[in-house]
Parts: sequence; structure tokens; C-alpha cells
Amino acid sequence: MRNKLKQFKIGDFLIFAVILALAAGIWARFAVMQTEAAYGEIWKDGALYERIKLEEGYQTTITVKGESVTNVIEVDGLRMRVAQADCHDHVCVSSGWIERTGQIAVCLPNKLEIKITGGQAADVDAVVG
Amino acid sequence: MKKIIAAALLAVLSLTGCAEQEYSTSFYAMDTFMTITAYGSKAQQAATEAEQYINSLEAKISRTRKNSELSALAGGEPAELSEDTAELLRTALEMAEQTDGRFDPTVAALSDLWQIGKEGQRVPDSADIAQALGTVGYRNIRLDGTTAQMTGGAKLDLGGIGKGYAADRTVEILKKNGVKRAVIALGGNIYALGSRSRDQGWKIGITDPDKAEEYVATVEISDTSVVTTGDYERYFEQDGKRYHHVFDPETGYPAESDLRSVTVVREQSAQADALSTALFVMGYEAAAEYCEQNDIAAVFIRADHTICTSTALERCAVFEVTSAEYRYEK
Repeated sequence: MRNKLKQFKIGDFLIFAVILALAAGIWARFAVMQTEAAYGEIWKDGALYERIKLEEGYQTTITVKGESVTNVIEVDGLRMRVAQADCHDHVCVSSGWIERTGQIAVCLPNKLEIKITGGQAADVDAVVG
Repeated sequence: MKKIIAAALLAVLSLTGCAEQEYSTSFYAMDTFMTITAYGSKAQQAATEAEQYINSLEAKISRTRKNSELSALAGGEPAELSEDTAELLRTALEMAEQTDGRFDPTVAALSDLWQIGKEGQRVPDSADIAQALGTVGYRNIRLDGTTAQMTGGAKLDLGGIGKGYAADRTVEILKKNGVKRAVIALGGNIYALGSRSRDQGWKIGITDPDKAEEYVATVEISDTSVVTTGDYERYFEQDGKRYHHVFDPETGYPAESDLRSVTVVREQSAQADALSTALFVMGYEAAAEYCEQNDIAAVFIRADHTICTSTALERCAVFEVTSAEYRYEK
């Protein structure tokens, strides 16, 4: 055993240290992911339009003009909603405030979605109906 | 020495492998918003292939695109369908027969007349309703192999079963690419492939009929589909009465039902899609009996704020009511 130990050089220990640090880093990244800040995202035509960090006490309004429909989005602290839409069915507006990660409100005519990302993991994987 | 380094590297690699690769894509198709989230080494390839398939299916069954296969049937002449569309139509016909017409893909004339969710929405003249109703009836559909024909002026709309069918084909594409876990949400039509983890299925919330951003109950499932039909998805109100988009093929009016929504849990998503519509049209008493007789797993949310489930549900889902505003009646 002692003979084998003597075969280890400083270089070998350095390699070990790097590998361990890498492993720890990867593990830490996944552990930290759970407590990231929450963001409100607005997507238009399949691309990210705007990303707002959600914070208690912070409020803002964003207007998104599409080809035929305009949406007004309100951000109020840790929640957001489509406050106004000039389309015919108002499905997005009736969705109300969203505040949990994974919740989405969609305006089909304007190809617009608002969603909450980051923050605490959602209780459900999807919602039907 | 090399063995030790190799072992250490393996340890690092297995740590990254612990978190299975996740890929998610969202897009608009079939008049709704869709998201496919897949897990596995070929997740991106699988989800992208599925998205392309769904877009191609939509082109085939579109009622608005001039060169779609469905448009070719509009004149009442026989037309050749692709195998895919023929299979979808065959499934729609089977479900119409099985539900005695409560699910009927020829209610297109009624949707066109009422325009629910569109600019022209209003309660039509009873004469116009009667005229449209005259063309409704799944027996007007002729299908022989891949040759189809619409008779009696009937119009075909495969939207009511198309998303379910698309979900089933998507699952096939994902599995072909080695994907064992995925959550497929095509509008409100969901397929949960595999499980969330070794001891947990995928948890799916059932929307509150009055608050679209909340859910009132959950079903925990694996390798099966969940589809809901409700009176709140598309509707308008006139003189204090709600007119929703689920037509009763017998009356020509939105189904008068004591149900706010019906959720069906079933492996075949196309069947779940058609059944949730048919059960909603039937109303609670008839629907509950139909489920018991045909071994269908379902969740009924009623207008009086009670929730009932069919016997078959216990076998394929762990069910829980999560809202204090609804009472579970066993």
C-alpha cells in the first residue's frame, strides 16, 4: 500500500482537486436553481419580448401592439396579468393574475403569452381544461 | 493511477447525467398554444420532429386553407385522403358511433353559424339553426379506405378530435426517438409520458371553471392522456345566458348541461378528446352511467360546485380535490 501511495505525485492530486471541484460545481448549480429569482416573461410570435424581474413593491405596465390586437400587461410585485385586450374573446384577460412558476396566460389572436419562470417550482406539471 | 482518474471522471459525468436532458418547445398550431417538454438524450430531435408533424397535420385538416385535404371534401364529391387523415377520420367516425352521435364531427355547420368566440357571435334565428342542423349527422360521412365523401351538405370539422390524435402521434414520435418521459400539452389536451420520478406520476391540475388561472383538483398519472371539455373555454353571454362552444348535435344549440366540465383520463388521447365532448353533451346522469358501463375514467365538475369521479378513475390516477370551494361527492 505504501509503495502505491508513493506513486502519487503533486500533479495527480491537482487533477483530483479539479475533478472534485467540477463535480461540486455541477451539483451546486442544480441545488441553487431551486431558489432563483422569479421573472415575468412576455413572449410574442414565439420570441421573448421582455423579461421583468419580479419584486415586491415593483409595478409596471407594458403595452404590446400586434397586427390586429393590442395587449396591456400589468406587473404588480410578484404577479402579472393581461389587463386589457381588444380582441373578441378576452380569454387572456379572464385568466386573471398569474403568480406561480409555470402559470401561463395566452392571447391567441396576438400570439402573445405571459408566464412566470424561475422562483419556486410549480405544484403541478401542467394544467388541463 | 489511470484507473483512479477514469473512475473520478465517471463520477463527474454521472453527476451531470443525473439531471436528464430536458428540452421544451412552444408553438401555435390548430388554433391553440402548444408546448412539448421532453426528457432524454434525443429530446430536442424528438420534440422538433413532433412539432413539424403537428404543423403538417394541421395543413391537411385545416378548414380555412384552400389546398387542405378537408377543403377537397367541401363540394360533396369523393376525395382521396392521406393515410394519416383517413385514420383520423376513421377514429372520429368510430367515436361518433360509440357515443350515439353525442360526439359528431359534422357540427361544423353549427360552429360556422354561431361564430362563438368570433366577431359574429350572437344567438342565430331559429330558422337558420334548423337549416344548419339539417346537415348535421355523422352518417353523412362516407369513408372507404382512403376515399371520403360528405353527403347531405354536411360539413366536416376534425378540430374536436384533431388535438387528441396529434397527441397520440406525438407520443409515437417521442418513443421512436428513445424518449421515455415527456409532458405534451396541445392546448388543453395533455399527454403525460412516463412518470415525473420513480415514485411520482405527473401531476396535472384541472382548471377552475370560473378562474382560468386556478385549478380545483389534480390527477397524478403516468403514460396516459387527460382531456377536458368545459363551458368556459369559448363562450359569449346574451341577455344573462351563457352560450358556449359545445353543441348538442340534436338541438343545434349549445348543450344544456348541469356540468361545467368533464375531464377524461384515457391512454388514447383521440378517444379522450371525443369522449370528454360527448360526456359533456350527455349531462351528468347519463354521462356517469355511460362511464360505468364503458369503463371510462372521468372527473365531473358540476354547476352546484360538486365534483364526482367515475369508478374507473381510481385505477389510472391518484385524484385529489384541492379547492375548498368544491365538494367531492363520492
